Amino acid sequence: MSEVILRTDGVKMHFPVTAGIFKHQVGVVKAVDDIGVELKRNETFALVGESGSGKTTLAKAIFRLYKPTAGHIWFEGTDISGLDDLKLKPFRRQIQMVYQDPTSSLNPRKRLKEIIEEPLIVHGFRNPDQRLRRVRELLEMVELPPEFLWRYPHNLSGGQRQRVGVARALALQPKLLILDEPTSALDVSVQAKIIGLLRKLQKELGLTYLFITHDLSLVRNFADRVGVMYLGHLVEVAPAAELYTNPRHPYTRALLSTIPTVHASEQDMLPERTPLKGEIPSPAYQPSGCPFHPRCPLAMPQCIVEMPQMDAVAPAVQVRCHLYGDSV
Amino acid sequence: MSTASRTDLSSVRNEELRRGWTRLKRSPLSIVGLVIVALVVLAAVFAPVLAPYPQDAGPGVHFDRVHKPPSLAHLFGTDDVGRDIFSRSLFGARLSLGLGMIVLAIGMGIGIPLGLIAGYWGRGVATLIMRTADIFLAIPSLVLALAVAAAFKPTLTTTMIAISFSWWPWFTRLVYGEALRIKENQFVESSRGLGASSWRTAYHEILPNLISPIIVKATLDMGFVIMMDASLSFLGLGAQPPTPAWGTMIAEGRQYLPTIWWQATMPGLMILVTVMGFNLLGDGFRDLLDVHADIGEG
Amino acid sequence: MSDVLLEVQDLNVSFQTFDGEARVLNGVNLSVRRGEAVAIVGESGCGKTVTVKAIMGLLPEGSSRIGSGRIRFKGDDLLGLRSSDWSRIRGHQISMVFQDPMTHLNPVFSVGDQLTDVLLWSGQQRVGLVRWLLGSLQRGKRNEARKRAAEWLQRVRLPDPEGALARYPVELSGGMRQRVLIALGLITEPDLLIADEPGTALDVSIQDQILELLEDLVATQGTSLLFITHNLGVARRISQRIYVMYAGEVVETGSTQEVFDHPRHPYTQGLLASIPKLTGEMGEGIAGRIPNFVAPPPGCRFAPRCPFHTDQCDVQQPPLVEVAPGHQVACTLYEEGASGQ
Repeated sequence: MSEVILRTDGVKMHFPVTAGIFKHQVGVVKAVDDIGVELKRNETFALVGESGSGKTTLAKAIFRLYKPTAGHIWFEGTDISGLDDLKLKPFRRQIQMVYQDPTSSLNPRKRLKEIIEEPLIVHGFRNPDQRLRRVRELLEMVELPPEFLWRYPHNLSGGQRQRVGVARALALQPKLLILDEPTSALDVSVQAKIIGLLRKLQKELGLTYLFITHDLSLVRNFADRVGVMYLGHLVEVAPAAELYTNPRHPYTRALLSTIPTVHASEQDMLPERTPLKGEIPSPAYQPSGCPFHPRCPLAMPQCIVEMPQMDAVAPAVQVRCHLYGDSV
Repeated sequence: MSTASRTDLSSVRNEELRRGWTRLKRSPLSIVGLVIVALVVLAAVFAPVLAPYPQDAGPGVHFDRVHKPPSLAHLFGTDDVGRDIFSRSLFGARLSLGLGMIVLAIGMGIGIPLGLIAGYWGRGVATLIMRTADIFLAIPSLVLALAVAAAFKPTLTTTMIAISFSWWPWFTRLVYGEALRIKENQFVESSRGLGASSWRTAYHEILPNLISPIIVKATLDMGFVIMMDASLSFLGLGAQPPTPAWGTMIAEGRQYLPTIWWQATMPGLMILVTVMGFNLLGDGFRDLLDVHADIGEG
Repeated sequence: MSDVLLEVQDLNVSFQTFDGEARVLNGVNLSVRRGEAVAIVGESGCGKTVTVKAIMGLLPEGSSRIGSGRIRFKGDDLLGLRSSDWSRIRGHQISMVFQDPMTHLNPVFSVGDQLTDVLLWSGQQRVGLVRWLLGSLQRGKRNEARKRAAEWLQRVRLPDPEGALARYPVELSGGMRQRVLIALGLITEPDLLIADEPGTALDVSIQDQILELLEDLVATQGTSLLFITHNLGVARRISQRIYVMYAGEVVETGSTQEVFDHPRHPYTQGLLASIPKLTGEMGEGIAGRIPNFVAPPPGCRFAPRCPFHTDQCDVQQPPLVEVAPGHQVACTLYEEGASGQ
């Protein structure tokens, strides 16, 4: 039952770069360029990449905080990419987001009850008793004690705050949850707890997760499928297990090889150390051809001139690299 | 509402109040400020009851007790027409506090919404609002007040309007700056992601975070407004005699200095103490209302 | 032992808070030998940053208090130093590389100026404006310093080191700024470099480059390294010896290899288990939260969260006992073994 819940098709998110007092456009930042992904119901799809890869921008386009410059976003068969605020509102209930920073994502002047209840009010739940009941239910779901109802976020630890963020996201019973680095601000012992909770909720509520992260070890444990992004492009999509045992794109391999590990057993799993040279270029200055070619240890003349296509190289595995193209 | 949740909330509130009180207690200067402000407010509210000679608030001449020095019968002495300065000072508190509150209410009423609009919606609207505010700030408030007073008849009302006009831009600036900062928080993004209207986001997410800086500013400003009012009255641009405004009283008493020192000094001391009280209290609020200050656990 | 460069003995630090005195460090012992790379790991609130600040003499005066303890560096007791003596040590014999390169580089001075200033003036207690200006006029000295600065930028593998001297911090990327900061820390050729999670704010590929750079430089310079991090993977990679801290106490220490392969303390075990592994394993995390420092648990500070908790744990703080050569653990589970020695 691999029904597709969300599909993007050629999504582009370009931001103009302006200069001078008259703000004339001098260039364009292609933060997200031509992305097509499919999320299957009840799976966890991870988007990984370094800063500047466009993963967060893509998530915000899907969440429709941005209106994509081009392309389509199909959610359960409806194209939501061009909808205005009013038409979008029913879809807002279906797609919710858990934010990266549990301090900045909760209003410090509101009690937890008010924070968790806010989505219900915005979406027209008028009965305060019902709302309160739902808030209590949500607190229980995220394993917070009921007396937290009247606390302020600053009384809570980071992990507890992130649970509140999850409760708020779940208030409207969404189908798709976008998790924007939900544990990157937390300690590892707390991260493990939150990941455990997210797993449990996914099973109980049949949620689909779009998981944005730069932590490759965490992806291995949490995601079903992984999309690797580089400079606004998707360069590899593969099932998690496959990606780690057989990384194909040179960028994926390089990323995996630099993961700091804690256990000897992990060492054998890493590809041969191929640390990346240089830094990720600014998205405003896209290299010609394959965006990765200036840093790629295996770059060929073809890479400098021609952008590779996303090719299916194995079941469920797609790679954007000339090494695997038809031409080779 | 279930009663259980209400008792919960009230016990939590009590606990928070208790903590707040404990913190306030640790800062003796804030307590001094609080006591002074409380006394001035009491004096203002109960002036007709507390004043030993309430009829002296208005016009009147008592040739039998002109320029009596401070004594038990006349705590602050009497003025050039024999009125009890202590009684007049109490009524003066009424005027000053009332005027201060009205000016701040008008200033906040105009300034806060404009600042919020400029801060949240930004772009063209912000430019328009903030440049207008800049224009108002560019005119010294005393000059503006003089102009207004000159254009109309110098009365208490014109003083009030004049001060209010020069006051709102300060609130607009404060709110604008804070709103810009708060807007960057993810909870604002989250509110937008829920499909909440801009109004709701501005009012329910941003405004609550502005309340403490506004309270602090309003408290500190109360002192400044009282000073401003006193200056204007002193120059004869505010309340006219025989109204017992502190500034007017100093102006009246000035010509008898230094021999009849009490007629100008006593209302002057009232201004000094009141303004200081509000400043101390304002500083106390600043420490007290800082959300992060009570995460002491590290 | 003459090869011990830095020794911290029974360090107690407390902070004055609204709720009372928070005992943030409770009897911390640690040492760094010459040429050794040592890591302190722990989660937020474990006291690793406070420890380092105490060593550098950078604890806030007034709100913090050093209750007892000694910090010896090359035989000097750092806690007894006057501020004039500090300038001889801080930034000169002990330097520090910070986590956030943007806030620790002065935005209004060029990279070259910041590096040469360190070379020309470090170790001096007070440099008045006049002296500074006169110093700037001494061409020869200044040019020499500039040459050394360029050399160091080369060593930290900054592309175009000569050109970088004239650039300002904002013109550099995060990774490049971190390199400049490392150059700034090492240019005085200190005996000890303290690194507070450098590179952790950066991407993994850049972090990897930074770690490699630090490893190389420390090895070639013979500088000792004290590396503070919450990332156990990073600690494992960079250090030879490791201290695991929890709630202001060292709970386990030993050679990095030994501690990672045979973690003994329940906290270390829980922490290691919590880390997602490439093999697809990941533990459940550790329940509960860090204790209140004003009224910490009477015995072992980890006891309330510990899965092996017994009554014995609440009696007193367990001392560090040796379980294997060089491997010490502060846990009642291992005390019986220790009593037999």
